[in-house]
Amino acid sequence: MAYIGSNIKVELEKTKSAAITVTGISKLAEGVVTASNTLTNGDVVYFIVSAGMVELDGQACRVKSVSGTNFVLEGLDTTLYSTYSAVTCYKVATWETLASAQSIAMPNPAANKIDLTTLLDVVKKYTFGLADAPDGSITGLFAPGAAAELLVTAATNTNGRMVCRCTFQGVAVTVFNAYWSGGAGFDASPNAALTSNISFTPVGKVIHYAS
Amino acid sequence: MSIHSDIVTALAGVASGKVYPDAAPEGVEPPLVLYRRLSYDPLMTLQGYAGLAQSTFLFECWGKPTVSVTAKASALTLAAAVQAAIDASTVLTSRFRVPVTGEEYDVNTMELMEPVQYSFWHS
Repeated sequence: MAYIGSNIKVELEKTKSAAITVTGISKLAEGVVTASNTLTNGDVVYFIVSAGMVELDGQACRVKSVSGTNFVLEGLDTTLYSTYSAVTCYKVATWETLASAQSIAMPNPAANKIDLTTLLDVVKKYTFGLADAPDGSITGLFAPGAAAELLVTAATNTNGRMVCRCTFQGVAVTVFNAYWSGGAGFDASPNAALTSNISFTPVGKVIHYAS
Repeated sequence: MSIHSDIVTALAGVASGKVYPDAAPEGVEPPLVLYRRLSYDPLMTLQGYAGLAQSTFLFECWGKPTVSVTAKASALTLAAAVQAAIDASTVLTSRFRVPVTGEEYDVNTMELMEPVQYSFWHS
């Protein structure tokens, strides 16, 4: 299955729900959250962790298998995470489409190479650590004052996080939470549409859903 | 308004109104202007068409010698009039003059064509 750079919708978190009080999160191949909630399958949530399962802090994830007070974190393996202690959850209530986006890129960073070479060694020795968070960018038509651009500006000014959802050809979906920088610069060239650039750095994992 | 009708409006006062798309009607003599679209480039975003496109048009300014003027001078005068009309137009606001090469000379009719090329942003 190939995805084409067409009919790609980039959406930004516009509003969030009231805080959802979490009472437990399991450590499973797909974590199960216990919380009094009114979520439905396909909702996107994110977490604020004050103690315990710190790996989940800021993580955005799609919800599936909502049943009673439980829901499953689709595609998020919490097996090796710290034990749950204190977590608040928010649902992304409404989205704003970044209609001006012309390209989005988020290259995979290489794993960190840690040099273990000593003075006695005759060849370099390395061990490899975790990769840095990927830095991403969105280039699009310059649209000052547009609703999505204002959200980016607000997130930039407050150093706040904002969830992004990309839908590819109406089928595949990518979800991540990120820090954002944008809303000020632009690029003007003769006889070309003005463009501007948005930079972002995801928090937690970027999760891809095939459908 | 379409880009074609905007061009007609902008050039209404040029060459005594002898401005035609693609080809002149039979029997119409230069000086006259023929125009045609060379390219159409829609502005796209990741979602789709952004509602604007860039079209490049070639304006062939055909001059003809008279007792007092050469074909070259006639064509150059006409080309300058086309440029002035487009640059002064209030309907072709997103215009951009682009490089163009090659004039044409018809040895049989002694008519000379001076090309003018513009790119326009339009909906």
